[in-house]
Amino acid sequence: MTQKMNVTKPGFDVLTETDPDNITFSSDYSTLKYDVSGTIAVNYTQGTGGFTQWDASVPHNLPYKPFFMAFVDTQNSGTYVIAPYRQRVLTRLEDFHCYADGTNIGFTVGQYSAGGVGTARTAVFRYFIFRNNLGF
Amino acid sequence: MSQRVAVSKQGVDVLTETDPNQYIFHSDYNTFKILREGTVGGAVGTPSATYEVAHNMGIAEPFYAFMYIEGAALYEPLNSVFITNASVNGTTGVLTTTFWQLTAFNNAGTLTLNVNVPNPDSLIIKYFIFARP
Repeated sequence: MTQKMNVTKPGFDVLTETDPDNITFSSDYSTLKYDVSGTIAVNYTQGTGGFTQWDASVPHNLPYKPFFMAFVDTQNSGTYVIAPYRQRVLTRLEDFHCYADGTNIGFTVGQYSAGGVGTARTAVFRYFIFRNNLGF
Repeated sequence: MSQRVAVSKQGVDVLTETDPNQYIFHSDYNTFKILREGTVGGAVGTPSATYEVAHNMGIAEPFYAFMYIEGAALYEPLNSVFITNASVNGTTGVLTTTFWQLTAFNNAGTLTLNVNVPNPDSLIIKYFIFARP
């Protein structure tokens, strides 16, 4: 008989329950294993005209390519959306983008605007890096 | 008294701590379980590529994915736009871009992964299907 460790939700029989939605934890199913989180700011200028890109990165310090997620506060206002995120306002298209390689998690603000005054902004990316190896 | 299984972080009292962020695991809080994971991919040409993963789970569970682009030696999360070229027409002001983008949708039977391909390359897509909490 295969041995396992299971914890079910209250009211569900741990010995007979088979629906994973009713099981809080099961050794049959892997989970996302949390490593580190943090924030990084990308300073950009809104409405400068043409296409421009601003970049920042953080090392993930893992010997493989890890699972990660990011959220972005596009104008340091305290409101976050999930990255990648694209917004279009009248004459401006902005991409808040994230990617990774074997060393770093990268964050990019890409902007196309038809022109304008050029207002200094700061996008704050909050990232979560997990120990799960993507295997690339 | 309710029984529970809990593992707190080092230095945190497992018997008294109430902040869930101080626990490694706590049976009061469901975990984000990975029901299924796998890879698809290979050589791709313009303008796009589509992969279908038949899971037949009977319900559209939450999902996520990453795409590794071999020519660029980097990987992107789902929905990310990786622009490879951008130009602005000096007369019309129209922006033209070429980009990689992985999008996906899931239903009760199939996870479908679509890739916008700007130039021929080779890629690997790692997908995850999670259990609903």
